[in-house]
Formats: sequence, structure tokens, C-alpha cells
Amino acid sequence: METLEYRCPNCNAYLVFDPKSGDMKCDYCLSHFSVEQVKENNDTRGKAYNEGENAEAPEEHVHEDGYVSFSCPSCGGEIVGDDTTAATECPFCGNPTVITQRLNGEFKPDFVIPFKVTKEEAVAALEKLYKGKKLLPDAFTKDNRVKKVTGMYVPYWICDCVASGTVTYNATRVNTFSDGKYLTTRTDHFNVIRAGTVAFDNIPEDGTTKLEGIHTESIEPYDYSEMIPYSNQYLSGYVADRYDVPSEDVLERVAQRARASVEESFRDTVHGYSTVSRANGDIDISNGDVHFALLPVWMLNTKWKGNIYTFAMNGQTGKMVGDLPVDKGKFWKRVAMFTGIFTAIGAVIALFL
Amino acid sequence: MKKVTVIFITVILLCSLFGVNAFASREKVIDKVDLLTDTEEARLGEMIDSVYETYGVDIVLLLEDTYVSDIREYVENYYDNGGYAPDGIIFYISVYDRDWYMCTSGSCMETLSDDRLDDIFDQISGQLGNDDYYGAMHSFVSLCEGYVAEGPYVPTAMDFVMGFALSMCVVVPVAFLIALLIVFIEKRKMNTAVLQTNANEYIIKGSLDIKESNDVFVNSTVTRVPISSGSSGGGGGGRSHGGRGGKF
Repeated sequence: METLEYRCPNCNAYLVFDPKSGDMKCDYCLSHFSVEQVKENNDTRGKAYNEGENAEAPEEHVHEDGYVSFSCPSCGGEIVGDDTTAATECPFCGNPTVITQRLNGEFKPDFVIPFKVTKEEAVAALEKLYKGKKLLPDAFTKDNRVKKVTGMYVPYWICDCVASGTVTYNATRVNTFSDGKYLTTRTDHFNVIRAGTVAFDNIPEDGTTKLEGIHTESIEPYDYSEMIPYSNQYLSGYVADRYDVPSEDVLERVAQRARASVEESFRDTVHGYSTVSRANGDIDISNGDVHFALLPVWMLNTKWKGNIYTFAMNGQTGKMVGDLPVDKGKFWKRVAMFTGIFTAIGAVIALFL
Repeated sequence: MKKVTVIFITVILLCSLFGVNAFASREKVIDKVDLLTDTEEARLGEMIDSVYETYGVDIVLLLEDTYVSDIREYVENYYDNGGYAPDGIIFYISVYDRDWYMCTSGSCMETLSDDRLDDIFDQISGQLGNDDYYGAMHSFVSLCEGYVAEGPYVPTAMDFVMGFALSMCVVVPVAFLIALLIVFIEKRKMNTAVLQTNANEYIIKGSLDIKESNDVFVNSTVTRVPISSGSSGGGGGGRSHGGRGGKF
């Protein structure tokens, strides 16, 4: 199996991608090397294992339950993954390993957005997410510790498309006037038609079954101006998967979102009416370029009362999302408190009326 | 000429001495369907005159057998245009459809409040139901006189407590619902992971190309609703009235 690890030319320790500097960094001697430097000098400074060409290439073991394991090229410990794992680290020595074989051919990503947010910043952001949450159980913040923080390059399909169609609305314009004795209401009915096209660029949809779509969609958007051609070096020190959902399977979801945007865009052009209701519409999507990109996500897991709470953070923008538990006791206490406040206000008003 | 002047001055003096003025001379028992005998009309007239002389309040009894589409407007106009005192009440009975309406004016809107009018009708409804019109009219005038003598209703401490308790019956559930709404919004904010509903972020700027934009007029519908002034305390002919009505 073809794997790759990057070593520091000064101390031979592991090089990992550093989100802060955007360089490859050695955690032991604190040396920094640009990604380009490492890429150019990989043969001399790095250590590549190529199946068939290198006797040291680790052998892959496929287990019955679908898991795949191989020996750590550094310490010989067992690294466990599955057939989509493209980058991981040894659980024993922490050796960051990129399984380049998994990102070859049709699985080679077109683009990558490197991490910009550090692990420490991700953990701090989670603490910040807890703040001001009055319904959060006290024990959740006191006893709870982040169990696992994983920097993941998530496989995304980045899709371009053009939506064209026609939407018809029933609209009314209501005028009311009075002659002193009667109130006259005149309602003019209109048939409003809007037809046209809207073009979309880089709609992302994740191409993995390992993450919930609700997490990968809610941390959008990414800043595509920082998206660069794919290079293995950015994966060092992180977990990465190749896609296991083909692009054809995400296109319907992309079309669904594009249709909703077209509906909104067309609706925004209907002005000057008292009421507008959609009568019918037909929107076609013609798909454009689809690219495979690895986008950075911090996944944070905590365990509380036997349940696992997962939080996701956009590894580029720092946007964090998740589902926090609600303390039922606090919920009803706050309902009682607000009821008391509003009752007191109501009582004062009732006294003066 | 001197004689005429003396007679005129004498009439004015007599009118002022006996408290008779222009309002008192108006007909106050108008029985167009002969539901009352002349004697009964005279007795009721005496009672009404007595109330007017004591309190300056006109009580008008109007009994008819005609169809009126807007009873309230008709009765209010009848009182306003009849030259009656500013403070007064008119009790209208129509045997055509067995309608009744009590319309108050001026200070009687307070002394004969809606609650009191309901009370009065409750007490005379039995007599009206038995076609005892004289009995009903007699009771009506007596009850009105009683309330006019009593003056406007002064709320008691118990009224205040009851009113406050009633207000609280509304305030507490409303406060609870608002509180529930606020806490539900707080609860919703606990979950920030939500699916995207559109792809607005990814629309290429300026790419919206509207090729067809037609707004086609289909038809018009017109509705006319009479402007109503409310069931009590509404304006009619520029004056304000209170009132209650129904069937007997």
C-alpha cells in the first residue's frame, strides 16, 4: 500500500501542516518549511513508501468487518481505518500518514482548502458555544470534557450549474376607500409570470457517508478564493477520506438547493402587490463542472449521560455548529420565571386600566 | 300691544315657575298601535313628567308595528330629531317582529349603563312576553327612575377585586404563552446544525437573467360593507348613544 509521511530534514521528526503559518512544521525542533519546499524536496527530505518499489511499504490487511489495517511505517503499530481512509495518524506513535494510494486516479482531489483554524482554537470555540446558553445543563459544562477532536479533510463535490425555468404567481392588489356610509374594497387579480436563468458556482455537497449532511451543510460557506490545487502535504497531521458517494448521487440535492434559490430570486422581482402566492413553476437544472475537493472540518465529540454530542467546525472560517442538550428542569424554571415577569407587568397594567 | 306683552311675559314666568320648558312639551308616550289605553298613556306620561321635573331626564316610550331595517339607527334618529332633552332614554317596541331597543343619551349613557339596561330588560321581559305592555312600560319607567335617582354605578371594592381577578385570568395564560415562546426560541438556539434551504451563497453575481416578466391583469372583485358604529356608545347623527336591543 502506498503511504507517505513527511520528516523534518533537521531532526527527522514528523512534519505536519500548520494552520497558523500555512507551512509544514516540526513539533520537535520547531522548524518551518513551506509546502512548496517539502513538495520539491520530498525525495530527499521525506520518506516515501511505494508498494512494489519499496521493500518497506506496509502491507494492507482487509478485515471481515470491512476495516482495513496496516503497520505503522514508523513504529510498526497497527493503524486501523477503512477502504476510504486517505490520511490518518498512528494511535501509538502519532506518526501522520498519508495513504496516497487512496487518492489516486479518479479519487485524486482537484482542490483543497487548507486548515486555517488550529485545534486549540476549535476547542476554545466549543467552550464559547456553551456560553450564554441558559438551558444547558450545569453538569454538561462542569463534568464534560471534549473526548475527541479530529481535524478532517472532508471529501466534497463542488458543483456548478445553471437553473432555468418559469414560475407563475397569483397576485392581488387591494384598494379600500370609503364614502362615509360604505367601505368599498376593490381587489385586482393578476397572473404574474417570471421566466429566466440563474447561474451557480461551487455549490458544495459532501461525498462521504461518514458524516451527517446536517453538519457539513451547516458549516457552509467556505471561502473559495483560498481553494488551491490539491497537494498531499496539506493532509499531514489530519484525517482524510476519499469520497464514497459518487458525484451523481449528490446532484439531486444540489439541484434542490438551486431550485429554491431560483424561486427566491424570481419572487424578489414581484413587487407592488398586496398578496402573492405561487401558482406553479418548472425549473430545470443543467449541471456544469463538478470538482472533487477536500475541505477542512474540525469534528469535536463529547459524551454526556451516555449520549455522544458531535460538533462540527469549518476549519477555514471557524463557524461552529452542533446540538447542545437541554436541561428540562431549567426549561420549566425559565418558563416559570418569564411567566412571573409578564404576569407582574400585566397586573400593573390591569391596575391602572 | 301692551296686552300682548303682558301675556307673553306672564307665560314665560309661569313656564319658569313650574319648570316646564320646550323639552317637556314633546310627546313621550307614542303608542302607534294602541297597545295602551288612553288612561294608561296618561299615567305613564305623568310618571315620565315627574322624572323629567325631578332629574331633567327624558323617558320616551315608542310602540310601533312597522318593519325597520336598522333599528338602532332608527331609534337614535327618532330621539335625536324628536327634540328631547340631551339626557334621556327611549324604549322602542315593534310588535311587527317583536323587536325591542333601548337607546340612551347624554348622562343616561352612564346612569343607565349596558349592564343596567340588561337588568331592566330581564325584569320586564316576562311582561313583554305576555303582551302586558302597560305593565312592562310601567316597570321600565320605575326602574329607570330608580337608576337615575341612584346615579352612575360606583364600583365597590369587591368589583375591583373581581375585575382584577378576571384580568388575571387573561394575563396569566397570555404571560405563560409568551414565556413558553421565548424559552422555545432559546431551546431552538441550542441546535445550530441545520440543513441549508437554498444555494443563495453560490449564485454568480449578476447572473440572474429574467427573460420573461409579465404581469397580466385578470379581473377585479368589489365588496361593499356598510360602516357600522358599534352596538353601544356609537355615534348617530353626530350624537353619542348607548343601547341594548333584541327580541321579546
